[in-house]
Amino acid sequence: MTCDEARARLSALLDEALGPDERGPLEAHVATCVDCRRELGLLRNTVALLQSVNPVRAPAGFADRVLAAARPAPWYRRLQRARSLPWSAKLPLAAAAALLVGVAVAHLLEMAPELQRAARVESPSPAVTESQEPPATPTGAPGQKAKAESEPATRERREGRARDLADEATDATRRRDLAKAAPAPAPATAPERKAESAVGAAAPAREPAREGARPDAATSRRSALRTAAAADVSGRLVVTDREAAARGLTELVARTGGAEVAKSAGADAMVIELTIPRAAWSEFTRELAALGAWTPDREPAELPAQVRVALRITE
Amino acid sequence: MDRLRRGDARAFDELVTAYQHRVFSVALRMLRNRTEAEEVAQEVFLRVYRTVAAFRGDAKLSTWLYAIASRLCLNRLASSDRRVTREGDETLTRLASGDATPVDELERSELEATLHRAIAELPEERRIVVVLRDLEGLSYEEIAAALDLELGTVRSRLHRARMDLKEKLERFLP
Repeated sequence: MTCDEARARLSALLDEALGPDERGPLEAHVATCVDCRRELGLLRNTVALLQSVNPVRAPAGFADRVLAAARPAPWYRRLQRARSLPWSAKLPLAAAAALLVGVAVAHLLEMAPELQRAARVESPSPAVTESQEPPATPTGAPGQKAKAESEPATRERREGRARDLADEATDATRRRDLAKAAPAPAPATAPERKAESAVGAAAPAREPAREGARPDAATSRRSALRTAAAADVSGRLVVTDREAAARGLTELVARTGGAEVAKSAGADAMVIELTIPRAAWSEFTRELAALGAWTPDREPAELPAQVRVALRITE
Repeated sequence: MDRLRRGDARAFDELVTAYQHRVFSVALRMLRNRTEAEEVAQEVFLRVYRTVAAFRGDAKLSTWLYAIASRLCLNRLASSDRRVTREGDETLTRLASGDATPVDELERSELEATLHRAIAELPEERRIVVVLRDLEGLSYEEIAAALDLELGTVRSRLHRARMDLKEKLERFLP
């Protein structure tokens, strides 16, 4: 081993970082070479000097400052920092903020019912206008016919106004569908006149300002119309004792496995809505005849599984 | 280490407390400016805090810290801004004001002053190796890992650095 080769490895020798294949020849050289031995001594002392240097300490409070910087800053600090952001970062933030405000305002408008109503009442709902289409009226006198035609429309308008405007569109659609499904509301309307005038007397006068002669009949007529429109079979039962007939009817419904859906009583007429299973239909009509004179206004050839019946009981 | 990865605040607290002096020492030896050294040392810990989840488990935590510190110091030394404005600032300020700082303490004796200057005058790539080896006590393997160098490169740079220092410190050597 030459002196140059030996000196290049002296530092590693001091650090014990040489493998045995390098260390052996080097130690042998140093043992015989005075200059290299002297060089090794100088190097050892140099390293000793370096290692004797006083250790440096971090300044007081350094660790606290690091921990404070690592912790998430409170929101106002972050906001403060955001003020010094470059425009490239600020612009998208500003756009996002504007969008957020827009969405919030829209949401607020939606949530405030007064604002909503004010906005909607301005224009009449097209759904209501559509439902004013006059239904077919194959029977009835010319005068009655005209009235029958106008009444559903009036009813629709008033109902529409009374309802929560938020449900208007769906409700109107449902009413329109119902009007289409009901084969003929007018036949039911015509015989109903008598009942109406009587029932209406007992009904509370909910809309006294209504134009026309019978403001108090509105509610009962409405329910009667609805009943007639929804029922599969409607008719009149003329009895000698209304209360006795009603009791008999209740028993009959129970016997035939049916159910009473609605009942409304006026001064001289009672309207009962019920459902009767198709299987018990013939039994029901037979027994009904025993209670009084049954005159069906409408009875379809094909009955559904549950027959909806609207009965007007008069004496 | 697991606690650090889970974001345990106490674990980070302990890490900073345990390594603050070593990290700051490397930064001060390399940068020779206390303000800059503190900035860099703080950045070292913040990087650890942000990236600890991605840290490889098989590497030694201290080696990782030294690796970040060394890289940040060398990057800062390489920036042209620093070369123009910072070079020699610390020494000039210290000589003019006469304030007692830890750096002054380092230079209290003539020997220490000479040592400090000798280290500072070493080329940066040799200086970092001698700082990590003789002042911080890292093994050759740890230095190679921290600086991403071959073991042979570490050995030769260290040897040259020591030879430089030996010449500058000759009058103090027995």
